[in-house]
Amino acid sequence: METKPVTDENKITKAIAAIIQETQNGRLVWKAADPPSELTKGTEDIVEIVYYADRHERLLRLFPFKTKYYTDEDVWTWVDDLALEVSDESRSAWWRFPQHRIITDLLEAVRFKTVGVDKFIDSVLSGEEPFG
Amino acid sequence: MCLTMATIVDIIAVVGSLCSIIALALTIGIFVKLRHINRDFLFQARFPTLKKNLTSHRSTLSKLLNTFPNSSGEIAVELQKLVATLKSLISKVDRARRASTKDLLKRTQMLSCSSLPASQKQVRDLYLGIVLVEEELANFSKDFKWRPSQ
Repeated sequence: METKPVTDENKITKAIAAIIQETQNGRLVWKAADPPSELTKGTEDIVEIVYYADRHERLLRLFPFKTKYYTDEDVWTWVDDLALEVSDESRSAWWRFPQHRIITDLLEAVRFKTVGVDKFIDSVLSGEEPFG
Repeated sequence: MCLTMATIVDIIAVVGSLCSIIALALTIGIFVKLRHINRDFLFQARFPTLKKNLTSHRSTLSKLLNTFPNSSGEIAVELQKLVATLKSLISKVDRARRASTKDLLKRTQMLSCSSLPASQKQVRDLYLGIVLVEEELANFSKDFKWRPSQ
């Protein structure tokens, strides 16, 4: 039985789930890159890696980052967060998806694909050179 | 005005019957209230663990989908665990909010009992079902804090 989209929140959920599915099926290919300056300059957040994927006219980017969570004026702790963004057609402006618990699953799927875990395991099992 | 002994006995009998009916209604009311309190208490006590379990099932299914169909065996095991979590959850959630959990349990049980391995689409539908139940529970938990005591 299909689950019906009822609210915008459900639409977002379905969209992220579809991105996960496309990633796991290999239809959406992600590439890891260094973070662009817009994510590292003029901000206290720490971004170490950004994953990009081309989807039709638009670009998707996914990145884990550390951000300061202030509990008082000068008391803070580092908190891990995740962002999934989509560009406009000119690929210059970005819209960030609302925080959603399944973005973590997307990051896991993206890492699995970009690291090439399945290929590595196959090569280990067959005794071949990895990625050869 | 002069009341005969028989009339007085009749009046006492009627008053006694009325009191019995009122007592029965009160007993039923208290029974229903106790059930509510019991379920609310169970929900508050068990909700964090059940929520954590659901998140863990979702995350595991998503990881296993990365290696599908090589992970069919592990998916079957995970579905059995999911059935146990959902069964436990259903008894603690309000009747009005039980529909999506019940539907997810039904679908998971069907897949879990089937002799055929679950297809990728079926597992994905379950994955999405878990996400929706998680969202519904999160909203229920927020509402719960503001609910007037019954």
